[in-house]
Amino acid sequence: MTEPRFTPAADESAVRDPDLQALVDRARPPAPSHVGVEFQSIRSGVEARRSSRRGGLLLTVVGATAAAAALAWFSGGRAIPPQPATEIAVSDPIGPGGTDRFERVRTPTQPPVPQPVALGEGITLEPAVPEAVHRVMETRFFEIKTGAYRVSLAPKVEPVRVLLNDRVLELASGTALVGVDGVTLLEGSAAWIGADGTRQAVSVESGEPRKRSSRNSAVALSRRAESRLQAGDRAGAIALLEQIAARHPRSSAARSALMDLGRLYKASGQRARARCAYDIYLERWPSTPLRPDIERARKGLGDGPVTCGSLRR
Amino acid sequence: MPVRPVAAGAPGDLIEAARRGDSAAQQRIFQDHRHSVARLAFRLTGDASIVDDLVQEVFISAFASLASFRGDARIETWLHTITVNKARNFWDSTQRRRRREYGASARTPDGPDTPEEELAVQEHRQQLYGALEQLPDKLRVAFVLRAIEGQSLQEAADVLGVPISTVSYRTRRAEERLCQILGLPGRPPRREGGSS
Repeated sequence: MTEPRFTPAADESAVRDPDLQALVDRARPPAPSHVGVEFQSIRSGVEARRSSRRGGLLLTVVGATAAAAALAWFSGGRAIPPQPATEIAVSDPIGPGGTDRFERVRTPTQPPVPQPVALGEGITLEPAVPEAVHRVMETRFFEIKTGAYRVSLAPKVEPVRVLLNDRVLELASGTALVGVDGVTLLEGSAAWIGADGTRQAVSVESGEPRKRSSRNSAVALSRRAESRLQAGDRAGAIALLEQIAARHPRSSAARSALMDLGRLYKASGQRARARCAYDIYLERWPSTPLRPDIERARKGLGDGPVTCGSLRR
Repeated sequence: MPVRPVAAGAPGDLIEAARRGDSAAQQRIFQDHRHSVARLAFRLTGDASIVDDLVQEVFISAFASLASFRGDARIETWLHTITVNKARNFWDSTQRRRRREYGASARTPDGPDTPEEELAVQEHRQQLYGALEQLPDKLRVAFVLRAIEGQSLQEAADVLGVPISTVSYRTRRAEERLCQILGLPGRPPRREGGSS
């Protein structure tokens, strides 16, 4: 897009077309009346980000130290100035050839443990691990991004919902340990909420953690697909999303996967497959509130053949 | 070095204190600007369900990278720049799909108790944001900042880090394409199934 050089009037109007201006005026979202973000959750997020950055600095910091030592050696053995105490946490110290030739250095300071958070009326969120990070999505609905929390509800308050790895848990009463690795209901009642509204009750457990997701679970495949996409590997992402749709046809991950496949197939010129992805979505979830969006996307592909291949078992 | 107390009404001191990790200073910045960040996040995305998420991401990024804030712009402008970047990431993110999935199924269906006027507003908003989604990111952002958020050419240019002529050009191009997409009088509607 070539953008010409000119000097616009400082007070030029943003919209010239009166009909478009009228639509903008009617549709303009108002300022939100309430911002459901706690400052404590921001502090937790900053600490978590800094911790992950420190881990990634190993090869830079330790490698620089080794380079300085080598330079001193080649310079005739002059004394190396004393290095400041390294305050960097170490991970995966691998030198050339795969051998571990760098010394681990441990950080002397640990990030502070986040304090309990009052998330709303009668809800207490207590981080179970230092790196716990949550995000408030709506009133009485939040997502756990990393780590785990002890979630407690006071008696006779409304339930709270938690988004975990694409699944939604509703805690109706009591206390639960809720994290990305699993859920333990300590007391009270809770249920997993399916994308179609179905409920699967959770029983009070002894506290043993759930096993980590297997490599081919819907969650694991979703993460790998997103990773491929972020790396720019569209074909790799498509292959993984196809697996989700085929292996876990009724999962919430499959719903997202089919939507993404429609978009990615279209972007890669595979309109016949894109049509199939949208068709399968509407077949499996005929009463979805997203029907108008999906039908519009389907219509946007124009008329033509439908190719499903491995999408249909 | 002794820690100076946060000076009320002195933005430079507030930022400096926040850089040193002063929690009170950071919280003050958060309290002062969270509503304007939330408003912009809402207007960039048209989706109320992800505003809090974006606000949290904006302030986490801001405080984690405060050292890179040179202080040659207002802090609100800097926060708005981060908000625009986060919205761009969100537009292209698969997270958006997942949240649309859950948000759509969790919303109470429109019933007889929903005021007609509110339904009309929602319909217009879906119409406008559905059209905005079809624009390239650069045009979409320029139009939102100028026409929806109401920023001046200079304010939008500061947020985007481009000349005011570029903001003007992008806004005009966005307007032309929106009118085509929406089939406004005098401009034929854009054909569906055109180029990807």
